[in-house]
Parts: sequence; structure tokens; C-alpha cells
Amino acid sequence: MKSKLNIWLLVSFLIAAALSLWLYFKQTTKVGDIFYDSAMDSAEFNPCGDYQILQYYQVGTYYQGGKKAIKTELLPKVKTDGLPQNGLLTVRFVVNCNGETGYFRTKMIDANIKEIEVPLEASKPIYALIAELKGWVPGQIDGNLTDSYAQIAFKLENGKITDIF
Amino acid sequence: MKLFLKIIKILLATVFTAYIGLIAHQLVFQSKEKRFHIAGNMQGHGWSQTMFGILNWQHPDYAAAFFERSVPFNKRGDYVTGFYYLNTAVDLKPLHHLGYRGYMKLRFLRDYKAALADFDRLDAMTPNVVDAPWGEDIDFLRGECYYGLKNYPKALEHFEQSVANQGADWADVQAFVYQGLCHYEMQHFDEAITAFENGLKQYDTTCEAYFGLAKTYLGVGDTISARNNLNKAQETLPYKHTDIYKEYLNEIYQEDLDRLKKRL
Repeated sequence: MKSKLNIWLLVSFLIAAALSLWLYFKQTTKVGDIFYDSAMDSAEFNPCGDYQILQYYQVGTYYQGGKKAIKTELLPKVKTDGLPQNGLLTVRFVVNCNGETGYFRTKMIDANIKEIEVPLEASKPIYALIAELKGWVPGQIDGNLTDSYAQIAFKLENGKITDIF
Repeated sequence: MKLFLKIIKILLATVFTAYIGLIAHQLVFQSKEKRFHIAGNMQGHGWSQTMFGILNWQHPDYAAAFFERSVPFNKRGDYVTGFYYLNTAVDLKPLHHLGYRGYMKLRFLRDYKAALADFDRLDAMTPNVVDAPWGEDIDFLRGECYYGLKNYPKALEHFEQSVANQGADWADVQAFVYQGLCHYEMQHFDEAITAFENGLKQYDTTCEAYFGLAKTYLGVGDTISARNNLNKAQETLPYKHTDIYKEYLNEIYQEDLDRLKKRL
């Protein structure tokens, strides 16, 4: 009887502890989170805090003049060397509370919304151009400037970028 | 002392077991509607995705759970995963989810042809109904698709149909603005002016209509009217048409006004 009680206590404790750890992990991860990777991220860029970073649409992050202004600025400069000929390339990144950008990641889809691999070397010049953009207005929470995720989409048709939004 | 220790052990084991039961209830045994509601309210969290994963596994024909699971992925640029779930929802209940998928293809992917295919398929399924994908008139959205494709005559046709569908007083004021923009692109300047003014009859704070008028008057060489309308566009810019997720095709900014001012 005594050993059964001890087994019950031990097993229930272990399951409850494992569940709690799993729950904590699930509560603290979000779709689209980007984590620092020393192999690809600049050490010069830092988010302003170690809090969870929210989305641009949750905190009101925007670019002065909108995506139209980004398009005007980037379209003459962006090169397509090494990029797939057709598809939608989305660059997601962090805009920190000072309006600086970093932690760039790329995802690209074809016309059937299937993933296309993009070589990192082909993405890097685009990251550099985005990092040069000076018009980011950081989002706010209760009046305090905050870090947030933002993204820019590049439409490629026959090897040319035809839209940025 | 032994009895006290035994009671403590029983109490602790009961608490741990109840805790495990509560989590299991939340994840697996609660009604699917309640779980859908909880997971939907935590959109984007890992916990929400886990709940939707279990719902999708337990109820593979519950289209709404696939649809809702897709939302954060698509909002955050992971279209492969997002559209995988959204396509499943459309396969299960096309009537409920085709319109939203078309809307996403239009506004998030700017894949105008694919969006049109979804809107046209939805329309064919509901022959006597004016559909409203994600709350917007289907012809307004089809008009936007053709506008994106630079097929201005076809876009105009749909923006006119959108006003006919809703009635001039209830139509989206941007349907008039887009009509004006289509005429402007086709260099039908008189018709463009009429369309922008029709929009202003509905809402006299529509800065996109004033801006369209300013561009059109400049096109016909009437710089005085162009300047007057640009001033009105400036006054009404705070009321501009905007969206927290994506930029509209006809969205205007202070920079657009400044650029036009330099040409006057």
C-alpha cells in the first residue's frame, strides 16, 4: 500500500512537472519568432530588450511613406543575382525601438505556394539594403517604443523584381 | 507523524493528478467549439497551435479549425504552412473559406490571377448571391485584382458592378475612387472627375478622391483646380484609407502629396 502511494506520488509528480515544462515552452514560443544566430546575424544589431517581440500590426510599427516609399528606394538598387526567377520572396526581420533592423530571415514561395530554397548569399545583399532604410517608425506599447517584427515582400517575375510591398 | 506524512503524500498526489486531468481536459476532452474559442483567442502562441493540432487530428473534417490555424502563419509571412492549413479548410468547406483565401491571395500575396480564380469559383457556387469575401463586396475585390493586373477596363467594370451591387449610398467609397483611377489610367479625364466627385458625394473627407482629382486636373492642365484639390487632400489625409496588415493598392501618403505639389 505504502509503495503504491509512493509510486502514485512520484509518477503524478513527474508527469505534472514534464507537462509544466512543456506548457511553459509552448506559452513562450510564438509563430514566426526569430532567434539570434551568430552564423548569420550581425553582432552590431541588438533588440532593445529581452522581452517577447510582438508583430508590427500589434504595436503599430510602420515605415515613413509606407511600403511605396520602400519600393521607390529599393527597386533601383536591388539585384536578383542568385535568386530564383519567379515567386514571392518575403524577408522578415526585427525593427528595434531605435528604428534599426536586423535578424533577417527569408522565405520564398512559387506560384503554387510551395517553398523555394533561397541561397543565403543571394539574400544577404537584400538584407544589407533593408538595413540601410532609415524611415522605420518603431511600434509602441503604452507610449514606450518597442521592438517588433516586420516584413517586406518582393515579387519576382522572369528574373525581375516587379513589386515590393 | 507517519499518518501526517501519508496524508501529505495523498494530498500532493491528488493535486498533481487533478492538474494532469485539467490539462488533458483542456487539450483533448473539452468540446471542440470551446477549444476552438480558447485557441483562437491565443492566436500565434505555441499553445494555440498545439490545441489546433489536436483538434485537427481528432476532427479532420472541422474546417474552421484548419482555417483559424492558418491565420498567424499567413500574417507572419510563412505562406507555405499557412496556405497548407487554409487549403485544407477550403477543400472541406469551399463555400465558407474560398472567399477568405482569395482575399489573402489578393492582399497578402498580390497574386491577382490566383485570387480571381478563387473569387470566380465562389461566385459560380452561389449564382443568386452577391458574395462578400472577408466582408468586402466580391466585385470590389475582383476590381482590385484587375487593377493590380493593370487591366483597367475590366477593373472599371467590376468597380461599377460593386456600386450596383451595394447601391451608391452603401457602396465602399473606394469603389468610386478606383473607378476614377481606372478612368485616369485610360486618360478618360472627364469620367475620372465624375467618378471622384461621386465618391465625395458619399464622403467629403475622402482624401484619395481629392488626390485623384488633383492628378486629373493637372492632367488636363487646370492647375488651379489641381491645387485646390491637393489642398483638400492635405486637409483630409488623416482620414485616409489604411489597413494595419497590408498596404492598399491605391493608398496615398504625405510623400505622394509632396511630390505632386512640386509639379504644380
